[in-house]
Amino acid sequence: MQSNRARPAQFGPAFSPVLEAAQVGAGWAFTQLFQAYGPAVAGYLRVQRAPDPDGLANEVFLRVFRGISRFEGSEEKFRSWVFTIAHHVLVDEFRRASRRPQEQDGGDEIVLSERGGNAEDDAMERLADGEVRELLDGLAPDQRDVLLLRVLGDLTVEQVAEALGKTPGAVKQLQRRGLESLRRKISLSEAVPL
Amino acid sequence: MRELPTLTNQDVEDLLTGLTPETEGLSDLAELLGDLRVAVDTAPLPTVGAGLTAFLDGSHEATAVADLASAKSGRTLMTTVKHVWRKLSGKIVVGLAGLLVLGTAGTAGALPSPLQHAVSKAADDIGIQIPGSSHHTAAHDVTEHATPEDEAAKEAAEEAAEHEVNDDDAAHEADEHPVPEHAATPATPATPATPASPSSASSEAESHHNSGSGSGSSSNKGPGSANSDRNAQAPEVEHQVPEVEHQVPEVEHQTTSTTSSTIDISNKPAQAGSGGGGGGSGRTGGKSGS
Repeated sequence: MQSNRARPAQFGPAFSPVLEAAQVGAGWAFTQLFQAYGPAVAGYLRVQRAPDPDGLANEVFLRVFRGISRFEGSEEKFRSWVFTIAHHVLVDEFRRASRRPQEQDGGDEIVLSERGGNAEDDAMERLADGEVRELLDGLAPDQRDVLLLRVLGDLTVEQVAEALGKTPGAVKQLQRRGLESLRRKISLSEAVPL
Repeated sequence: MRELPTLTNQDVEDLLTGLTPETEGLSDLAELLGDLRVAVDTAPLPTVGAGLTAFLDGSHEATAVADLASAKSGRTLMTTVKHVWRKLSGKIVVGLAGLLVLGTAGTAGALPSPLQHAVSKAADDIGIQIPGSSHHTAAHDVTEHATPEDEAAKEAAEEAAEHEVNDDDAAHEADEHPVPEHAATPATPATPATPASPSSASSEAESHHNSGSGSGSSSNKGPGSANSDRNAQAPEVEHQVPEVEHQVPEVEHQTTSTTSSTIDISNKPAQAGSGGGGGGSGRTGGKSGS
C-alpha cells in the first residue's frame, strides 16, 4: 500500500494558538483559517454544483467564525466541523433554490472558467470540471455526499453519519456503493473515451 | 467488459483516506480521488464578502464583544429580575392584599382599637387621614396623657368662669358641657374602635352625677348627718375631692342646688343616712328638686 496523496495538516502544532486567537476575535487568526480552508470549502461547493460557491463559502465561514468560541478539538476535527457546516449551508441553499423559480444559467461554469493560472491548475480544472464532475454527477445524491465529505472533508464514518443524519452502517453502505459505481464508470470510460 | 473484483472494507478505507489499495484494478479509482483532492485543495480563495471582511480585518471585534457583553448583561439582568420577581411576587401580593384589607377596615373604622390606632397613625405619617387618625389621635392623646377628668374639669371651669354662670340654666350648660365633648367622641368615626370611650364618657357622666350627688350628700352630711355617717362616707368624699376641686363650677353650681337637696334630704333624713344610697339620694334629691 502506498500513499497516493496524504493530505498534510494545514497548521500542525501552530493550530492551537491560531484557534485560541480566533476564539478571542483576532482578525489575523480568522484570515489564516480562511486561507487554509477557504479553497477546499469553495471547491467542495463547486463540485457539489452549488449555485454561488463563493457566496456560500462566505456564509460557511461566517458561521464558523461566529461559533468558533464554542469549538474544542484538534485540527482534524476542526476541518470536519468546517465541512459539516459547509454541507449544511449547501443543503439550506438547495432547499431555498427548490422554492425559487428554476433558472437556467451557466453562472457556476463561468466562475469555474475564471480560475486558473498555470498548466497544472488548468489540468486540475479540466479534471474537476469535466471528467470527475461528470463521474460524480452519475452518483446518487446520498452516495455523492458521503464520498465528498469523506474524501474532501476527511470526515470519519461517524462524523458523516452525524452530518447527514444517518447511521454509520448506512454510511458504510453508501460509500461502498458509491466507490463501486465510480469504478464501473471509470472502467466504462476507459473502454469508451469521454 | 472485464470482471471487477469486489471492494473489501480495507480497500474502501484506503481509497477514502488517500491511500492506494493493494488490490489490483483500483489504481485508476485511487488516482481519480487523488486528483479530486488536489483540484479542490488548490482551488483559489473564494471572493470575500463584506460580512466576512469584518471578521478578517478584526473590525468585528468591538461590535462582537459589545454584542456579547450586552447579550450577557441583558440575559443576566432579565434572569435576575425574573428570579427576584418569582421569589417576591407571592409576598408582594400577600402584602398588598393585607394593606388593602387594613386600609379598607381602617377607613371603615372597623379595626380593633389598638390596630385602628396604629393604622391611623401610619396613615397620618404618609399624609392620609382616615378615621381615628390625626384629630382623633390628638383627642385621644389629650384624653390619654392628661387626666381626662382634669382636662374636662379645667375646660368646664374656664368656660364657666367666662360665662359667669349663676343660674340653673347656666349650671346645666356647665354641667352638660363636658358631656357633649365626651358624647362627641362616640360621634366621631373612631368611636367604634374605642369601646372604652362611651363607657368612660358614661362613667364620667356618672361621676359628674355622682360628684354632684356626692357633693350634695357630703354637703348634706357635713352639716346635717351623724358622725358615723360621716365616717362611713369619709373615704368616698376624700376620694372624690379632686373631682370636686376640678369641677369648680359644678361644685359652685351644686352648692346652689345643695340648698334644695339639703332641703330635700332634710326632708328625708332616713335616706340620707344610708351610706350606699348617697348617689341614690342625690338623684332622688335632684329629681325632687327638679
